[in-house]
Amino acid sequence: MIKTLDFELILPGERLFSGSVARVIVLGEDGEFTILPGHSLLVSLLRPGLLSVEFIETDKSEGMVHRFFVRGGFFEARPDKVVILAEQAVPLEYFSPSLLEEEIIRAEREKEATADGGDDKSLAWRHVEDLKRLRPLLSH
Amino acid sequence: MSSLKDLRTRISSVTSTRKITRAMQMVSAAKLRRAQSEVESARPYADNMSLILRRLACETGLCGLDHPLAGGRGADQVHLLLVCTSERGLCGAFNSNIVRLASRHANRLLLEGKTVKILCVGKRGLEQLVRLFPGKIMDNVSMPAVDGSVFDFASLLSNRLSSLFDEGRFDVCTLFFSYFHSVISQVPTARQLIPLSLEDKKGESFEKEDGSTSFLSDRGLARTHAASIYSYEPGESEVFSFLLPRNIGVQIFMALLENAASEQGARMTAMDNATRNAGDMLDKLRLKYNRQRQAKITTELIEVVSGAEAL
Repeated sequence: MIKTLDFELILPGERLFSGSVARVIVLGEDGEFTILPGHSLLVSLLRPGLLSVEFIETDKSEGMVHRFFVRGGFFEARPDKVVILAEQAVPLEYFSPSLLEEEIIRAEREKEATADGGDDKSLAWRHVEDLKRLRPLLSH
Repeated sequence: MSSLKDLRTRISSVTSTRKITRAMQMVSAAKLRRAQSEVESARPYADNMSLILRRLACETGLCGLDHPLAGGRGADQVHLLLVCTSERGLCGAFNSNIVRLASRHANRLLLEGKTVKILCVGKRGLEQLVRLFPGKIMDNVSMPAVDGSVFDFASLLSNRLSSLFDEGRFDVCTLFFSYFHSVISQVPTARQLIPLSLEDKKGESFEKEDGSTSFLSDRGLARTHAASIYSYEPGESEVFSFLLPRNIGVQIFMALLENAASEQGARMTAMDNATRNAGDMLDKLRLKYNRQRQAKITTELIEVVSGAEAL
């Protein structure tokens, strides 16, 4: 039985995180995924939102949790490895309400740019809603 | 024979040229370091992207996939060449090498009776391509002045390619750029973007050695999981219609970064040669100057001496 997952969070310009973790909770296009070691093969698109990475619990330390804000991209899950390729990712500590507002404005602009009536439009609309839902999380 | 004054002017002009080329060399060296680190830091994304696509291709057989960006439309009449060159000159044969590769490719296609369209990035390549293929240039785009926005620029380009492809303006797209091998060697490279070519994906064309070995190990891995096929969220076609255009963007992004590094590398080498040549030239000019000066002194002395003798 595999106990840990290799996890990588990669942006176009840098590798933001790489290491072994206990589990990863990520917002996929069809809802939240909790990926544990031994997960079946999966490729999914990402919805803008929070990504949690839980480290392995040892005798000395409790399982730490790292959170990131992630936008745009996809991930691949394999039994021993998870790779997230995102357009934008920021550790939650550095993610301020003003940054969130910038993201919302960006998503609104994307929504305006997409053609009416298509699947893309509803997707863009949902992305804006996803981002707005993060507001109360950041306010305290 | 040039006078002493002429020689003095030439010496000072060559000296200042040498100063300029040496400064340009040092500037390129500094820029090269940054460009190189940008290439390095962008590689994980591009590598993982192509690894994942390769794995999916192994499992599903991407060619059988019903997506025009992957399998093409079954036609190959109209070829679009995306030629990436630099905005500035004075970088040796960097631009000419890329243009030569592209024009060889274009000529071969023209011989086969295909239609060729050229989309040029950077104005240095454009100048040469306009001369070689008048009327075939579809458009040219300039690289952004700000370095940080290369990724956005690449996604813009790839969006434009996708929409052109959707409109049916071309069937096959090939990307030309210079692969940064080392400071002294930049390899002009052609890579087919649309339809996605699996031959290229296997990394046989030029990819570095560890890339191909990792592919082998991936194949092994794919075989062990052969029974378990990937699941897709939300659905296979949605995932691919997201992934494939994105992959084109990433390929262009990598090509632009490789190009930037290659350009600086080429410029550094060219300017190093220029500095050395200027040095050689200065040595020769100085020798000539000193000889002439000495000859002049000797003549004057002879004149004085013979004048004294005549008295």
